Amino acid sequence: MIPASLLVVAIPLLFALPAYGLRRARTFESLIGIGACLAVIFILAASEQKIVLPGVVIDIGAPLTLLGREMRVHPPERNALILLFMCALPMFGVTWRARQGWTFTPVGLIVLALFSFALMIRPFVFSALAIVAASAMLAIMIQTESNEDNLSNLPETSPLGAMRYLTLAVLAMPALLAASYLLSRAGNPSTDFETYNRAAAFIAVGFALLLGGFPLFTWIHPVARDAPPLTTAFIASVIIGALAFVVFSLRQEFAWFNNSPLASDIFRGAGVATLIFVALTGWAQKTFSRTLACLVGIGVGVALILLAGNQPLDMESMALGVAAHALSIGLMGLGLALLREQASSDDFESLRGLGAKYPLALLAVGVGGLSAVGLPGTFGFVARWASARAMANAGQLETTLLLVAAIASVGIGLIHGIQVLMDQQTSVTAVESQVVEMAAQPSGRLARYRFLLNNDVRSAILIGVGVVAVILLGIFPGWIGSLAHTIAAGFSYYR
Amino acid sequence: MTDLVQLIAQLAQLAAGPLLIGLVGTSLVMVLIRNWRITLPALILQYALVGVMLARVTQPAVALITPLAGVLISLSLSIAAQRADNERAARGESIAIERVKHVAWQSVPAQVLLRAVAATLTLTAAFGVAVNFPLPGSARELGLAAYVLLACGALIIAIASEALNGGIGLLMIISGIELGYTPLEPSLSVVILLGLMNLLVGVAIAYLTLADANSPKPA
Repeated sequence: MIPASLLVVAIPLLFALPAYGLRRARTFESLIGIGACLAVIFILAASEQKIVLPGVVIDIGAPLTLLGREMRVHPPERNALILLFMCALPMFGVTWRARQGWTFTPVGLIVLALFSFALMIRPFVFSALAIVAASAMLAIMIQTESNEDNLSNLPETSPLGAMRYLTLAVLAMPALLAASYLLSRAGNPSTDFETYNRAAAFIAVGFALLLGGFPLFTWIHPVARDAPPLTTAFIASVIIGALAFVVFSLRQEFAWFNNSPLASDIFRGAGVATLIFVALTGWAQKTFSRTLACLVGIGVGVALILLAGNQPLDMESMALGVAAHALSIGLMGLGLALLREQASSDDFESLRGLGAKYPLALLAVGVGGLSAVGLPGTFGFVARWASARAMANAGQLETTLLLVAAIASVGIGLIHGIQVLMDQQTSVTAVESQVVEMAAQPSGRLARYRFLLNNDVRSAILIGVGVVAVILLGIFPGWIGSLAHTIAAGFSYYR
Repeated sequence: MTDLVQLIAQLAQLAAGPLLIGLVGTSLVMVLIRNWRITLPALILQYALVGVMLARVTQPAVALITPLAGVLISLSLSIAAQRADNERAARGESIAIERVKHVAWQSVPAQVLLRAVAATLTLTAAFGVAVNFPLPGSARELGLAAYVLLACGALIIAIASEALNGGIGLLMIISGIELGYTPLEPSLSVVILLGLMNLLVGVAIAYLTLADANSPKPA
């Protein structure tokens, strides 16, 4: 009998090896990433407690003892893990067309394995160490060679974003370890209230650091600038989602943490400050990477506020937000990755007019970005509406208005960027130069058509599927809504 | 391995003073000097000292994990730094070995003096915090050492512009955390996980060091 928890961690790790080996074969690399996610989802989504395969029995709830500690798929986190792997799946699929560097799929799988470990292992000090280890791997994902496939003419990027992310993740560690120490020494929660409240505050500070809440958000903008766009989307959805579900698990496990007013205040304060910062700066952004960073900022702010809440709608909104970010920011990231292949920078002026030449990329940036902002009729709106409703239900009208202001501010910046993309003034791009060069060579015409066909067909398939998914889930959100409801129903801390 | 364990057990019997002086000395070297050919040997020495200090509160075999991980990290960092230097040399830029052989005495005093002042203030603050807010646990010298490493690591991160030096600051912070936390929970599993995490952070820093060599520098 094999515990499912072992497979949830081992499958992504094992698939990471061939993904690294086949990193130059995009199709295989992409299929390996998708395969790993599907395998884990298949195991976790099984309706029975035991899955009987030829020669193997997989027990979903069986514990695995590791270094004297117990790891198992706890019922509340089971659906959350399914959601995280479901969100990672389309991003690995997108690498089929928009290459994100050799690290994206193999290291992304390792990061998924480490976050799954963090969600399943007890006690939480092990989760904290696994999260910091995952952050170290994520730093490698953030900093990748940008012109390895000779398609992009982007200059090498600075490692500033990756270093900042790594630094803040390491700085979160003392807070989490301090909380662990306080817990090991604390007495009865009903009498030793002060110690438990301090431990809860340390946990809240640690996770606020990891999530990038204001004023500790300094990694978000450099990461969005330096990292490939899909890596930013991966962080905005899978990583923020995983961290949030670890916090929800802690609230489920520890009543003192759940009831700590200090922890709630820290989460809410950091979330509100982040939204204020985004509302003040979002409209003024002049590059797509900074606009993307502001969209991530909204996600971080909303996540922190929802972590402070005490109703099932908070968790449903979080689940919807994670899925919406994966699709919307993922689609926008795909469009940006295609545009970044054409220009030396992603500031609005460098991309002026490219939308008319590359309508597929424009479609991806437009639909993905507007969905991430929360345009009605898109999947992003469903998540934003749920978040606003959760805040309003909790009696936080000011926070709801702040969310609307942040959305409007980033929306102004994004629409300005889309307008510049649609401008008619254009310039010769790197790909055009490459195509002209190909055409000048013997049998160049054939190579030219093959090049254009190969890239455009892949782009059309991926962007078409993405746009249809964003709109369909915006009109019929029932299926993903029921998954979000199931995730929330698995937890009981708010009852 | 048994000899190493015995050696670390014997060294752990030493008075705390020389060990603390060694930690402060290696920290100062890493704050004052940016050249990896000097700072990485200092980092290895610091990991050895951290291992000896940990052996005072935990099993010597468990304490050995930290210096072993440290040596592996330092080796991977030195390989990355050498490769980065090779790329810089190919572009005709200054590299570490040249800066050791031909020290630019006209510019060194100003830079080192500034860092020395910052280091003095930081160490004073670390001593003050260690006295006023002692870490829990019976071994107070470990608390002081932890504060020194945390403070100097934070200072290096604040003043270093290169990924390698910033990474060394991060590794010092992790060593400080180990010194502060291991006496409180001296279990083998925590030390192993801390060592693994240390290794992964080291791999990430080595990767970023290579990337830094190719990144555009401000004019």
